[in-house]
Amino acid sequence: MSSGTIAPPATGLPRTRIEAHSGRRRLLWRNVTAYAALSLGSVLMIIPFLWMLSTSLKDDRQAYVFPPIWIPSPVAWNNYLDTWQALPFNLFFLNSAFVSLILTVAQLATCSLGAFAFARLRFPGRERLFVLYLATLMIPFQVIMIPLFVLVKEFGWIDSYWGLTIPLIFSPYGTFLLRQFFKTIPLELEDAAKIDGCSWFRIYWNIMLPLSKPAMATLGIFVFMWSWNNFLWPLLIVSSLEMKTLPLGLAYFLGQYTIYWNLLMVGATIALVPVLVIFFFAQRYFIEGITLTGLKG
Amino acid sequence: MSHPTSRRNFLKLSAGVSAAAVLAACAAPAPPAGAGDAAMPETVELRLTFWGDLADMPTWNWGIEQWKDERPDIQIKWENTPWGEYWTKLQTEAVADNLPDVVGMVSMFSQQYIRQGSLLSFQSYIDAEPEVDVGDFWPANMLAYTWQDEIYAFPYDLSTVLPIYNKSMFLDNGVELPIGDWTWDEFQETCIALTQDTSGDGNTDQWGWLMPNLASWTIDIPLSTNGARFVSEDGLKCLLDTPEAIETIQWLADLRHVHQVSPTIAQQGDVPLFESGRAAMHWGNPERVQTIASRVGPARDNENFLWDVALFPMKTQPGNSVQGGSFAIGSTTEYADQAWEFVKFYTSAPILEEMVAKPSRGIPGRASIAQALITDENPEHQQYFLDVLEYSISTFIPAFAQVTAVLAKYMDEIMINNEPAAAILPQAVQEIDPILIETA
Amino acid sequence: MATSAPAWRSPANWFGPEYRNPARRREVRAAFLFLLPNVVGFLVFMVGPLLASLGFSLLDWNLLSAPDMVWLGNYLELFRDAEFWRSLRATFYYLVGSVPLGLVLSLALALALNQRIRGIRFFRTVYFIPVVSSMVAVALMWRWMYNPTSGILNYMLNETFAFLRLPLRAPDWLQSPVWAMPAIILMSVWKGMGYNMVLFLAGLQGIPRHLYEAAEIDGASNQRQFWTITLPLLTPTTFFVLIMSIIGSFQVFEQAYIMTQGGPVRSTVTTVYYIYENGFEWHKMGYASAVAWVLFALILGVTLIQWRTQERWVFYE
Repeated sequence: MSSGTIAPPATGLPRTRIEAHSGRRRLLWRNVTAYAALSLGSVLMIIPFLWMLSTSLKDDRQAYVFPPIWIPSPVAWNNYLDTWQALPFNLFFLNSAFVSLILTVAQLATCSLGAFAFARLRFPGRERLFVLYLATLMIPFQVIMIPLFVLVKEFGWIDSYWGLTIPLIFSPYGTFLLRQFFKTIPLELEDAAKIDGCSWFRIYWNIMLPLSKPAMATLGIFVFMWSWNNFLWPLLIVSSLEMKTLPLGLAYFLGQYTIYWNLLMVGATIALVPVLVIFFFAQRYFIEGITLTGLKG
Repeated sequence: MSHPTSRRNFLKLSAGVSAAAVLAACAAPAPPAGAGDAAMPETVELRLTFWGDLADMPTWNWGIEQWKDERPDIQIKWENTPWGEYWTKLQTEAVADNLPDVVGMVSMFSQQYIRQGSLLSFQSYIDAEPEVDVGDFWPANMLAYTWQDEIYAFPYDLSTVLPIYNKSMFLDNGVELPIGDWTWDEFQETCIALTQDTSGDGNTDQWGWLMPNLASWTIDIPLSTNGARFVSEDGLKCLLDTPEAIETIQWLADLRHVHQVSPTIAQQGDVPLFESGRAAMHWGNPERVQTIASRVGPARDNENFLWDVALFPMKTQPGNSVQGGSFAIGSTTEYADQAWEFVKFYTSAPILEEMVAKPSRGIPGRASIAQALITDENPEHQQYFLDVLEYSISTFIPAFAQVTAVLAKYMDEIMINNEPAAAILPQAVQEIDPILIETA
Repeated sequence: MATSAPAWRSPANWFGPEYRNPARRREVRAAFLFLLPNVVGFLVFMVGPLLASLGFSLLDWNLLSAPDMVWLGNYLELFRDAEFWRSLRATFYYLVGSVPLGLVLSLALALALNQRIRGIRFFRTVYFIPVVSSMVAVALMWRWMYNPTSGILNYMLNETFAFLRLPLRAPDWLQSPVWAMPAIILMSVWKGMGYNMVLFLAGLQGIPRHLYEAAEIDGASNQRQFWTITLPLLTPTTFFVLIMSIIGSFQVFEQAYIMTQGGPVRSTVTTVYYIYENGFEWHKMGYASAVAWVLFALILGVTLIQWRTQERWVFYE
């Protein structure tokens, strides 16, 4: 993909300070430096992925050859088909998409409700409850894993979508993030609504949420990305092949004695693409609108 | 000794302390009663948990298919967890009383699972069915699966470890092929001859030997060739501070530091240096024979890459070590009889012959079919894997994982930091002995 | 209501005088309803298991046979446990190595990517790739790249050194007790940079443009604008990023688990890795839980200190 094909995101927006106050020559010079620096950085960032992509297109022999080669020859396109057929990746893909989607929607709902209460409603013990809530972020998952598993088993949710989603819906991180954002929205708006006799829910639904689209989009992509790659919990919950998610599928390429590098890299590439596409297209909804100012405790 | 009920109650109590009130409201409804009654009530589904990666999955599935024909009323659901996470998941399931009916086990961890009460004793079944012929399982490894005179698992395979060598490389360099017994010195000379900087840039790009990870059961292999062993046979004393053990480990360290014929263990882990022709000798069990064949072709086929197996070099006596895999039954199963039927079938001679012996997945658990491991497809001296069983030693202790983690620390001091074995190994013993006694 | 009744009898007085107002009481009820889904989930799926693990920490328990109550025995033991202290040192090493570096780099990146130039979305996406890829696959790939005998990184480094005729050799990275932790830090910073970059970008977007315009009119240089406008107005975001990065660093596990298994010479056994070893490999869940609670106390302490000091450096509008 060439960077030149992408139009600037917002032609109609006010011109930046650079464009408004600099001469054309200076602007050009700045752009050249910016492109050079950004490209160099990108190359450094992307080298591991070029290696990943390159490995995914090598046959077994080429994958392990030393000195390493960057351009596979012949290109083993069939790795992609082989990987897809070696295991029911269709199913893994659908499971991952389904679980991530459910988690994203559900976390956005619970976190925004909770964040609204923590940011805007006055009730006794609010700060203490919030700190307690935040404190749970500080417990490593490894220690609550076993009790949580026991609990989920009592619910009969082992090896089910319930077990994959419900215990992960309640997120202190998301609540924290949204609370910080809600605190930046001017109070005047909701004071006006209160005078009009709006219920708290109406204020949340009609004022807070529409104004918080960028923050919601940010949290949304974080949650989606995180659950798309989540490994440990699905590993415990899922037993059947047809319930597995993509990261569990990738683990098949790690044998007891060998790593199937080219197939693993195929899987990793396949897993990467959807989230990247979402990020590429969604960024203008959040990067260009969110603010986290007003983090006052 | 163990009180499963009190443990269960304890867990439920603690996990639900604050949540008790909400639990009832959230709990999933019980499966509708009577739904299964109309169907064939005698059909049961057994859960089988077992690692197994892409290469050998078809083999295990083949065995399950055979079982389907045999007993359509007992279905098998294979819950596959890759090796890396298998033990974490198994332990979690054990705590939650959610152990599958049939459990894949290995000899190095089996004592831990037996003694903590996770596995069901086979003894009453064995006593009632003499035709199972327990004597046919290699006796060397049955110690791992036995506790207080009761057997808890049947092995499907055993692993001994041999140097696997690139015969073509030996021939090209005019190095004598290692056939029959050989000594440490001969081995060392061979390694030195075959360690080369072929590109001339000052870096070794062809290694004499890829040393196994010695912070594991494999440590018994070199030790046994000098009359030493890792842990005493009663499992109560670490023997790494004996002069023979120190001599052996120092010899191995010298291969790396002085003669520089071997990269560190971790350096070889990521890509198959042997298969890519960058090492003259590797080490491996029969399963490695299978994976090497899948990458470079059968041992005697590829003219450019002929390979074979050799005996482990010895100091004072021939030696090796044996461990292996097995199937056991989860102690909380509701279908103990059916699970027993399946394990019996899955570890029976004809099945193991096809699943384990012929493809060189391992030395089959049963001695009577061991010769099936020797095929034209497999290396010329494949027989060595069986021959060394006679003098192989093993370490079976309940705290295997913890003890090897401690061992890893000290082996790193020797193999990476180049500390003298004579100074380090006594320290290792000091830290390992209390663990052995505490967990005995 | 009888005046003789004690004031605390009336529910209206429970929360203090300001809650006597019916509107206030409605607000409390609304808050309760808003928080209900969270609180229910929080109690069931977090507090329950948390209390269980607190209970475990008082036990000598291999997870399966009957536990022995040892009260604070595990806690006393861990203070004498050299491996525990070693793991704390490794964790602090990781934290000190990764948090400042990650913070500075992601801020620099956000500044560089906060421009309206052609293709900026492409560049942002590139820097975000490491964030969205699976940690398992990426950590494995880095392990391979770091491999001194077959990895692409050392191959390229050594070729470069040879080309420049520098008498240098690339380090053994994960095989060296000295370099293993820096290697993990480097990989983690690479992996996490894009994440904080997004948050910083968002923060930059929130700085009102008119402030810069006013500064331009006053003739302030770009550098001066950065120090007097950008940096102060970005402190709330920095605060959030800092708190989250530190919490995350205290819990570093996967990298060590996949790339080094804690070695060499246990130089990369972080505290959570040590918890995992104890709980899941050695089946000492009681002890593992005790370590986790000590770690928790530590993180909580550090976070509270940050929270208290925020007034000194965090700039709120």
